[in-house]
Amino acid sequence: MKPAQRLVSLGTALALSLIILVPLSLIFLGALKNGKEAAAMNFSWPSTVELISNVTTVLKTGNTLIGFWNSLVLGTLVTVCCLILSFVGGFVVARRTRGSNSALQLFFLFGLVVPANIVANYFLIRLLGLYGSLASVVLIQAVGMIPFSVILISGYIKGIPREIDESAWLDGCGSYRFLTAVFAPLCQPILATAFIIIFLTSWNDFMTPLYFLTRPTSYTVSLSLFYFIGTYSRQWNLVFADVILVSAPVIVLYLFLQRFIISGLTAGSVKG
Amino acid sequence: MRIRYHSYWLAVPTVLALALFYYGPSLFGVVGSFFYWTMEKMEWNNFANFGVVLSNPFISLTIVNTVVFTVAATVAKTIMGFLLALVIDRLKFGSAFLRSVYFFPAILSTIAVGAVFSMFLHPTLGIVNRTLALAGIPATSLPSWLTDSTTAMASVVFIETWMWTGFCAAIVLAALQAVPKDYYEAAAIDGASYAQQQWFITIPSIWPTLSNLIIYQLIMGFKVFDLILVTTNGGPGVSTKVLSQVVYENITSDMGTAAAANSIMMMLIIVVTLIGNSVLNKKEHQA
Repeated sequence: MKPAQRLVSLGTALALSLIILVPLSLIFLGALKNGKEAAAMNFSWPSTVELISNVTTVLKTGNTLIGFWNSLVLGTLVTVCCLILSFVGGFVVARRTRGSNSALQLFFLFGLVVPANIVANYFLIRLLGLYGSLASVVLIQAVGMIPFSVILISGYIKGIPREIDESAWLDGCGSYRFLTAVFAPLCQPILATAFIIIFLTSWNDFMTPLYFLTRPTSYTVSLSLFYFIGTYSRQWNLVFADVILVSAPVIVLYLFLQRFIISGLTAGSVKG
Repeated sequence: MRIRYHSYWLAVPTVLALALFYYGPSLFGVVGSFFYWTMEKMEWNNFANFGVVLSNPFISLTIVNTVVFTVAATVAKTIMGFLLALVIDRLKFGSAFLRSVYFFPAILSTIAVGAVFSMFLHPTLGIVNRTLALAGIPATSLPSWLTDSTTAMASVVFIETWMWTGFCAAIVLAALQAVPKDYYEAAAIDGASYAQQQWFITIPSIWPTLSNLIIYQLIMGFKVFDLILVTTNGGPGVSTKVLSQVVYENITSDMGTAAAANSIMMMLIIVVTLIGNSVLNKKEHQA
């Protein structure tokens, strides 16, 4: 390829990235401005930087802090439950060679296509008396992520030589100790990827909390943002500030762990 | 002799959890769509729920809307993602950085993206119409985007495309790197143009990835909920209302109707996956 062509490609790619960068910069500028300037929506630098006062107003009037705490608890519980179940599930899918191995794999693979049924879930959660509690969302989200993480983890385990199993077995290592002491450290990269993706999905999930959480004290970040927008739809500086607040943890994760995030998120559709 | 090193009963909790709380409800929900269904009782009522969904024009329109949104967004995301990946793939440096910039919107919450674009697309105050006005377009002919029934669907599709094009590009990009470079050299010697090379080499080579990506996007599209709820809430009128909103609005009062709407959505997903897998994968063998 000629250098001129490369230059054209680079120019095109940079120009196109403005489609992403311009809205992002508008969000940041908007969060810095006072109400009047934010409503004018332009690229000018604010006369006074109001970020701190915007953020404190959001924290005082919205349920953002409660949302942060709930989403953190929720995300951690969902991730831990789902990861343990998927790790052993993925392990068996990858290592079982005799019998109905492909049926087992298909059982999990099928979950990537069949959507969760929200109506029956709603019925089930109310029957179990979990309606309105964080536990309902933990259950639905954790189970919902199992098919994806089992497929992701088993794919990785298939690449680990069986000789390791053999030598551990010869040394008298049982299945449970083998999984926790030998295999878990070996699978660290994929467990880290799965951890981040499950947490991210739980953090960004809106539908499950909307269906099952009714009290403001149990709102998650996405619910708190949604109801905040409903109430303060005319005060754009506050909405921008809330958007940044809610996205901040995700952005920090992305800055440091984007390799894991991109490979993990795209894995779902490549295998699907 | 093969030794069984492990106890495979380990997977039982995982299988049980999925069966009880995922597949179980999925099946039960389909069965429930044939019942008059509330928290108190379930009574068989044949296809009455589907009758409600299909006969009420305001509800049946949501099926059309869901399909229109899904197809339009999938086509837009896939084609734009593919072209974007081609551009990034040609770069000597900076491709990793640009890929992460384009991918970025995919990690944001849909609520945040929807909220922000509702402001950008505001009819009078939004940056889009302000810019158009500066470009000399008279105020009367400025589109109202999300609040006009003729442009609302296109606007929602645009936001969805903005969010997921980089995601599609990242997937295509990974597949492109596996295509042997000498194919292109041979084609270039034979006089194939750049466009011909992409059409006859790139697309057939990465077709397995592309077809999976298309099916995945279609599945995502049929399930759309957050984005519509936060930007238009189905409006104006019912011009952007989708199936998942029918589920949401009916679930507390009439679970049967909600289940019927959900079953239609599920059927769309399963049909598209089955057809997609057979049709799209057949093309792969021909190529």
